[in-house]
Amino acid sequence: MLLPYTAGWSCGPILGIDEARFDLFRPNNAGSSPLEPFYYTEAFLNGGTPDPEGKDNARNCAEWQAITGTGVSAADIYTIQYTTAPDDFLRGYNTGQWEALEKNSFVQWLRQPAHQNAARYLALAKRAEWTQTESTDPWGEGRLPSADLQALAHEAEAGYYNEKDLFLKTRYAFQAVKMWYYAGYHTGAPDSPRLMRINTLYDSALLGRPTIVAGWAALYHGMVQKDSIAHVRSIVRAFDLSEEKKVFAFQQLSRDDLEALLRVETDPKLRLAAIAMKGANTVGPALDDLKVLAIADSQSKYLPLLAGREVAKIEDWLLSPEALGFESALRTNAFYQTRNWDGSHAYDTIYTYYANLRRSKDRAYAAELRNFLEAHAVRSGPHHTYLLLAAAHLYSIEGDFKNAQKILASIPEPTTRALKIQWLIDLAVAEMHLLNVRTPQAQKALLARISALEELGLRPYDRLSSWSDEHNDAKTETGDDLSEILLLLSRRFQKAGDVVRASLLYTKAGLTTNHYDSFSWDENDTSVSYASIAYLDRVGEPADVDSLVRFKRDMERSAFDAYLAPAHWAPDAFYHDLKGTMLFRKGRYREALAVFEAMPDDFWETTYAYRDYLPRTSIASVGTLQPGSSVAKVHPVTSKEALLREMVGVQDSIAIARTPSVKARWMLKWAHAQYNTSYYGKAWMLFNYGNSSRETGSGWYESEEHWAYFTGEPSQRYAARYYYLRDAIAAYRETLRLASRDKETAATALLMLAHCDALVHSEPKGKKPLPAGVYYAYQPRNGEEKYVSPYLTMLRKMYAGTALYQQASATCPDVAVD
Amino acid sequence: MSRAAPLLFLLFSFLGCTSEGQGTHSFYYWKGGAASTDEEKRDDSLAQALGVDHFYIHFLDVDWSEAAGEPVPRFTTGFSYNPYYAAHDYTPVVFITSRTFERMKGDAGPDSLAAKLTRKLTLMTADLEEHYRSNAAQRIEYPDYSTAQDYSTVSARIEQRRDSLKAALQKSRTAYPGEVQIDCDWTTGTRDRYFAFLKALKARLPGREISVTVRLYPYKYRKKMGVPPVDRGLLMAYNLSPVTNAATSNSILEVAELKKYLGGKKYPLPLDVALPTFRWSAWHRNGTLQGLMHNLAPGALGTNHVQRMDGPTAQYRIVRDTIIGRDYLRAGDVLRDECVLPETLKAAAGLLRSEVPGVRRTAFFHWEPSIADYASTIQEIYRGQ
Repeated sequence: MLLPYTAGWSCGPILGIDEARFDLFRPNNAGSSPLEPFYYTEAFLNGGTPDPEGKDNARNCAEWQAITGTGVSAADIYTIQYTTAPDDFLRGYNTGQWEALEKNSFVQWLRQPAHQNAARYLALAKRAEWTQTESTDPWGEGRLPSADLQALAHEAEAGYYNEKDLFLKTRYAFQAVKMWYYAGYHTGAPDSPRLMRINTLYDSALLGRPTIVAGWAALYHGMVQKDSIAHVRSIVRAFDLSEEKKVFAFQQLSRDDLEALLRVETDPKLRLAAIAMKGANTVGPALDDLKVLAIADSQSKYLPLLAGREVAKIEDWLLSPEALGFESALRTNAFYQTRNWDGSHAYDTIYTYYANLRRSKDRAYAAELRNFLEAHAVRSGPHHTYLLLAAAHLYSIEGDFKNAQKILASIPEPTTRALKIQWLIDLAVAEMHLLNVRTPQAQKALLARISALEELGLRPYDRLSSWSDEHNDAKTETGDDLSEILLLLSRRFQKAGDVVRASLLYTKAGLTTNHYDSFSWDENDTSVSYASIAYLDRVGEPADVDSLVRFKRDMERSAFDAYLAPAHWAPDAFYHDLKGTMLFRKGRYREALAVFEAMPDDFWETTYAYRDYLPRTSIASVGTLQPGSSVAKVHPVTSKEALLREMVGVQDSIAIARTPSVKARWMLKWAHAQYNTSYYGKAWMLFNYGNSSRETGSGWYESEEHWAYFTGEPSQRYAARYYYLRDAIAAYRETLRLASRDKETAATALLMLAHCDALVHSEPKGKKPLPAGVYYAYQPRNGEEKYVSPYLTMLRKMYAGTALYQQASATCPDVAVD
Repeated sequence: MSRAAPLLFLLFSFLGCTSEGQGTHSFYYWKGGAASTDEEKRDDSLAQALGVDHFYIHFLDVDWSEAAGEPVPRFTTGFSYNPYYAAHDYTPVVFITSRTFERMKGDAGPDSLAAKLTRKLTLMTADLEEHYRSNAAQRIEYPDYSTAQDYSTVSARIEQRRDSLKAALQKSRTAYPGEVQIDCDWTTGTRDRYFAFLKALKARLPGREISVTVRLYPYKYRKKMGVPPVDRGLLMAYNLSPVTNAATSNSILEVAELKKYLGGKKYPLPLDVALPTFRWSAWHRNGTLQGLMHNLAPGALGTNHVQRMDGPTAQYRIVRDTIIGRDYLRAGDVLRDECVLPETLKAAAGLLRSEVPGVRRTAFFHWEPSIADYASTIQEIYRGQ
């Protein structure tokens, strides 16, 4: 039960890809889109499309245009190559009736007698394409595709040997290699004659040729090689020379394959590509690969990819837990896997030890990487700025903001958008840590950075649109960057003692952190939502709420404050309710009552979910827990004020009671009120804004691993009273002491003490720690004795003659029988 | 009552058909894909209400593939559900592009296509029949689990009855379907190969009627276009005027236009007839057809987007750039709303009744939810058969 929600997550929230990762070093800084699938993200190789910008296709069209001349438009070549169905092209080619393609300049060029060989080649290429997209057995006659593929392979091979034009000759060779590959694919491993044909064609016509088809052919060639080194070498070549084959090529090879190649390979270009693939295939530290790459080619095109991956890893390992409260998803998973534990929910009691151990190790690794990047930047040519930004970012992660700022100051304002964004991000992060954020000057400077980032298109995180982009690596990685800055800034204000601005920044950031901020998106769009007060509720004090209301009413805010202010404020009463609730938790009941009295009478009846989770019965009625107790509604509307006024009235009555018996009866009411406003009582909403069945019996509220259950925050600070019933038990015991002559009252107190004792006994602190993996309210296991409260034994022995006992034992078997 | 009696009753209820009027009540079913449970219920009740007892079912298209160098099937329907299950009788329809015969080479082409198509139709028909039998058997329902006294015995009995019904249906429907229909816009250039194909098909499907669709042009100019060598024809009384022509007022059906084609001698083949119940908007830009937008009523787009143009033709001017589905209509384009009014439909049916004698089956093109709007008109036409 998580309140209130209109589109809640009944099983707790599900995190989107990379939502639990903190990553302010943008992976697309390197500006090479074909390498996007290899970024260090949770979507690694699972999302996006190979070669998203279609660079290979564009290159193929450009190669054709170099033959046709610019009289033929690149767009028309693209249309014929990539958007015209094989049958449509072939119909025009075979019949001369081109219909909608009549005006295509490439078609017109192909129709010229001088270009009939090119047209003939394209017709073959389209037939080859047809075998890849259509069934070669359309009538279901059991015809194997290999016959068609072999016929095409022979035809392409003949074209290669007969064609004089080098451009077409190379392409015929490519088609032949491809068709021989697929012919073998459909019949099992290629036989020797077919392998020989592929090798001959590839070696003589394609290897080393500056054409895109050579890169594509390398993959088919590599896939059929029986010699393992030849197999790996050609696939690495395909990775290097082609963009659209990169992902497939990457997936064919293991780190061992690549290391085996690197032991024997002498071609420097292939070595670089193999190192890059190996580095991208490393989920742990890969600085060694990065160093080898940088030594081999200090300006390698793969350098930014590997460097960016290392920065992202360190940021994830160190800052995801620190800033968001989540452990690194990648590392946590690996940890559980290596321990081979059953179920991902198992709580590891020694995890913290390892977390600290690896934190210091990761910080040392950050320093090592940063030293390398700084030293190497001077030799890295076009990557100079990129590597300096990476080094500055690492300084920030390490907490050395002065050096971060020093490096950033040495970099001229970048001219590319991607690098400029990164530069501004790191400036903002450094400045928020070096300046006194409470001063107007600092706030003005930080707002300038934020505004500059917004001008470049960054916006606070939008979870919904982020989810729709979850298969777009770059977007999911960068869509929350401004929010991550706001979150860091919130922490700075918190540290500086400005809880109000910290709260507003946290709310504006809108990120999912490992806390309960309301599990609803719809709710967050309304002015009255727990999300708008969650942070303040968790970390604030009553005086902070007053400050927030003053901030809200201030009509002459600075530009910085105006930026922080929400688009829709909740009514003042909602904040006052928070203040009253905070005072209530502290046991300052009269002050809380004064706050509630100043609020509109119908507020709890008409706002939030109070009406559903506050009783209109007496605060001193425990309902059916006490036989004979009244369950009549005594309050005309739902009202915290009315309930609290009752409690204060009970306090006053205790103070003026003249006899122990009278005092005992009032004390019993007080005890009931304390019980009712605990986690287990029906008026828990006087104490808290949410309630979950997963809060008890597990010690969740004492652990670091909150997600995804409502943790009881901030009630965990008041666990003794809220979960362990300290005040209720004390009041029942006092009742028992006072009621020595009033057996019915004493019996009632004992009955409730037995109930409270049983509840507390199910808590970890009331009993021995729970076995690992037990998260529900504790139930006796096989062979374990059922817990019987000594209070119950006492009730049976001493008060069996009371009406209370008679009724209770008649309606509740547990009271009557052990 | 013997135990066989309920089964016989079920069998008769699946085989029996009683239509008002003399001819068969038929529809073309041109959709592919699976139907939802709600659609099944709606289709069943609509078929019952209209007394539909036959469907022409679009089985597949055949087109010439340049890459394969032979005709290939382009579209094949799925049979998980079909409203014909409620009608019990059907005719498979195969649409073949005219260019298939245009590109076909050699004398063996027509017979080769006939052989492949026969095999395909046999497989598809067996599949459809299996679905029909399963669908019929499923109508014998299990009792409520909570009230059945001996559920395992009851369920065994139900399964036995289902199997018996399926076996009885299989035995009684060996001749299904009794007819196969070929739909092709043949030309004088493709006529010989098309007719050769029809003869070959007839030879490969003995005991089955072969029918063809006949447009109004070859109906009127039968000497020039030839008469297909088949058992029956189905006269398609729609698509009378060129939809590409911006001056056309309604390309689907105009009675005056229909009259121009009728009135000659009796056609040498026995004929059935088909009438249109579809609607589209012909989308023109600067006098050139851009596309047909099915089931679009332009007036419903609202005056912010369209304005009705003067004149008797239902034409609408696009006044604001508008996206409809995947089409981007620009200001200035014209949408010509083409639908068949009930009175037009009735007049056309009456004309066909008088000019085309001996019609066995009147069909409507085609089965879709919007035919509910024509329900009373269709019933009236059926009654007048």
